[in-house]
Amino acid sequence: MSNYPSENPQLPEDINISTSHPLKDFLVLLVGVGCIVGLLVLSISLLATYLSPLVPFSWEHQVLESWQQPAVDEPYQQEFERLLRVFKLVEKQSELETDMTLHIHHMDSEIPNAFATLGGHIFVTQGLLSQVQSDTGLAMVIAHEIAHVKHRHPIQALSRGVLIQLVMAVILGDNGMANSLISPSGTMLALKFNRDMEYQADETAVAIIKRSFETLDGADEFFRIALEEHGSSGWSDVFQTHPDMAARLVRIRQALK
Amino acid sequence: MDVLFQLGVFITLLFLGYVFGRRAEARHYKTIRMRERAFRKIVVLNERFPPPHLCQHQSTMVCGNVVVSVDYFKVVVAGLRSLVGGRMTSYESLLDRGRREAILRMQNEAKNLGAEAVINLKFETSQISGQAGQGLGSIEVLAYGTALIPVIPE
Amino acid sequence: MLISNIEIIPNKKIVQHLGLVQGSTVRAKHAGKDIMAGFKNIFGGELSSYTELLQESREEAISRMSQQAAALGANAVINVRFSTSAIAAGASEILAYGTAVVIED
Repeated sequence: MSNYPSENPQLPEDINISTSHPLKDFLVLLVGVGCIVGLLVLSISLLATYLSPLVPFSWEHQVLESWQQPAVDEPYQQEFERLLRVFKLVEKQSELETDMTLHIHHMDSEIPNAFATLGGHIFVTQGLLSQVQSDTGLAMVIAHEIAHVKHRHPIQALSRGVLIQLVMAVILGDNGMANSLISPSGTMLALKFNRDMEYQADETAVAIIKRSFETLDGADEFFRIALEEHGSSGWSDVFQTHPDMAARLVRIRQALK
Repeated sequence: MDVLFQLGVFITLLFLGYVFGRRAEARHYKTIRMRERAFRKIVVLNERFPPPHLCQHQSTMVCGNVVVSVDYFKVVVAGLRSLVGGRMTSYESLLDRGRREAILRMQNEAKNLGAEAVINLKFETSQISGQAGQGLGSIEVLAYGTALIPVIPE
Repeated sequence: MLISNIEIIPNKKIVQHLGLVQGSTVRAKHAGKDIMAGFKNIFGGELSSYTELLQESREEAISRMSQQAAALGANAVINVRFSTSAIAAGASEILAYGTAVVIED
């Protein structure tokens, strides 16, 4: 009799594969990695918030010093003068530190928008100028952007963004699939800091406005129009750089009283 | 909104990968078990020398190969796992399936030649990257060995 | 469980061959070690974290193969072969396979 088998053995199935449910595995991993990424983004953001104000404003200014306002087109000349006038009024009351200088720019764009960037450069679009009729309304928008500069928000946002991108790139490497899951969630967390900045800028802006004008009627004009046009963003708040307009308007109105 | 859209696409792909991947895997395992039972008579060993009672047989090389692809769900789980470290359970069943399927195809070839056994079995596993740098695309498993065919007396 | 990578086990008699057994595992190191390995790549030298990873995997593959052999009632595995393949970045698959046998003195 041969000592070789006459047929292949029947092997148990669960030795080379694990029997745990794949969904359970996935959820445990998701929660674990989520916590780690959350902590990482949080600490980087806090680091950026506290360290970037230590960068002297003059450095920021040097980078964008050569940025000159191009000549404003003829039809907008009047609007530009109004912008300059209101800007000067607000700037006087903004109580900036002595080394900070502000520059106002007019942008030929129909979309109502205003933003502040590195070096104290503030941009206001033609669309916003034609939408916001009252001087107090325009002053509130400008004061909001000045407040961003005052609190060093542009450099904070920039350094936070760069740091998060860098750390993510180092950790994830070419791990494509994890990248597509983790990067958006990291970005979403970082946006929370942006919303906190908006609230802070709103508060400071109201304080500036209170010093510049006697009557505060119409200071919320831009926010009111924006809310009427786009409506409340509701639950999608998590995905926005700016906080929910309705909540913001309530806060601003309270502060204005 | 852009982030929301990305997340939506991602979750949809994940869900599709999970549902269809699970179904395909269950179906594959079912046929593997069925065919393993049918081919049990063709003994597979990885010893180099034929068993004494099969020494007079003719020999020829047989091989069987298979390319199995991962599903999106498995790739995502493995991607997360590679950050934390540890056992990649999502790929284990894939490789197990691939190897058993490759042996079955080899056995099938041996059976068509009228073989009674396959000796000196060897495995070869290689990665065929679907999307370059995006982790595992699919894997190829090759099983090869020497089939022993009884000589028909003239 | 005796493991051998030749066809015999010295001084023992094989009384019964049982069939093919295999054990495999896929493992990865955590991202921190991957980054350190990336730095090490610049200077050269041994990547001890990956050495460790492959060693752990190989041990697990052997233990799984032994489990299969034990399930068949074998007390040795002969002619064991290893096969390693890189499955994804930073992860590797180790396969160990051999023939389960029953031996006697």
